[in-house]
Amino acid sequence: MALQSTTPIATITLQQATSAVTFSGIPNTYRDLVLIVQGTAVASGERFFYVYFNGDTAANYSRVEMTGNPSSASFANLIPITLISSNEGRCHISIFDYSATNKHKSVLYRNDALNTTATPLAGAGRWASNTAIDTIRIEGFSGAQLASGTNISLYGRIA
Amino acid sequence: MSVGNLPSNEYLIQSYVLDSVTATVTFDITGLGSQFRHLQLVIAAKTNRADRADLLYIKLNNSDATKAHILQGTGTSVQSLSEDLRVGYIAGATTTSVFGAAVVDILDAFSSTKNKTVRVLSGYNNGTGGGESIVALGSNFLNSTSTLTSVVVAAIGSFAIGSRFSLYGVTA
Repeated sequence: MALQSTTPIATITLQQATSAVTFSGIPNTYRDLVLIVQGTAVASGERFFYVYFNGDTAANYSRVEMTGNPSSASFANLIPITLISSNEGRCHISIFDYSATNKHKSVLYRNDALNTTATPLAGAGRWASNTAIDTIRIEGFSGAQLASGTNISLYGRIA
Repeated sequence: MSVGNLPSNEYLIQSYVLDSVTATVTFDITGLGSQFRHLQLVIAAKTNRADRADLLYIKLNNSDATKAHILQGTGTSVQSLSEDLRVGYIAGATTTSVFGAAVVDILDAFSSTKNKTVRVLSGYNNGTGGGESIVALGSNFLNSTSTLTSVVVAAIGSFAIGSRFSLYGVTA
């Protein structure tokens, strides 16, 4: 049998609401990273969280995405996570060749947080940096908070 | 699987990182049906096509797909396509460090009673909208119940140095 490919690096289950979560000291022993956020946000309506690498909050991120209800597409900055308070949502983010020093970091993501306005979406993002990723921070936008019980897991995947 | 789930029962079969420009990448999967039920192919690649993007093709048993469809977002609109056999997108040659990515699930790859179904989440981001960046959900199928023995990855251009292709097996 071949090598099992995916290994948990760290998992955080929130015991209280928080506006930011950071994974630091990410080893460079994998090829790709997978970040899964499953849970809810504090306060009603869609709440947005953004993913930052290595503490970089400058305008080095971009994304293109498409959504369901209504069908629409957008182009914007930052890698988003959308959660709502009433129903559990799930965001799956793959970060490719995260430790490469000759590539920008490509990201594919899917987000499913459903209510009457939030919709399933899929996106492709990029961090315009050749620096290896060793820190990932998830930070609430405009005061958004991840609710208690939200689970955030980071996996490494060999290749 | 990684388009929607993260399997804990997933194993690395083979991985290629190109050190020369290569037209197609082929995985020989003969005999793996005794170990795995599904396959997952992860691609982080660009090509030498002189454009912002290139089209991604997945050939099973060295055959073109019988049919392929795509739902894609360009930053300004969502479109559905079925006019050719593309199943996704990766980056072209116009931006040096930009590599596209794709996660390809091949379901029941070794069944001898089912036609073969492929689903793909792919995209690339050149840093601007209006068709310069694309995300796509694609699927294709091969109208054949034959057990798979090969998976071929192709594009219009040839894959650039540094492009990476990793094949994983998923147990039932």
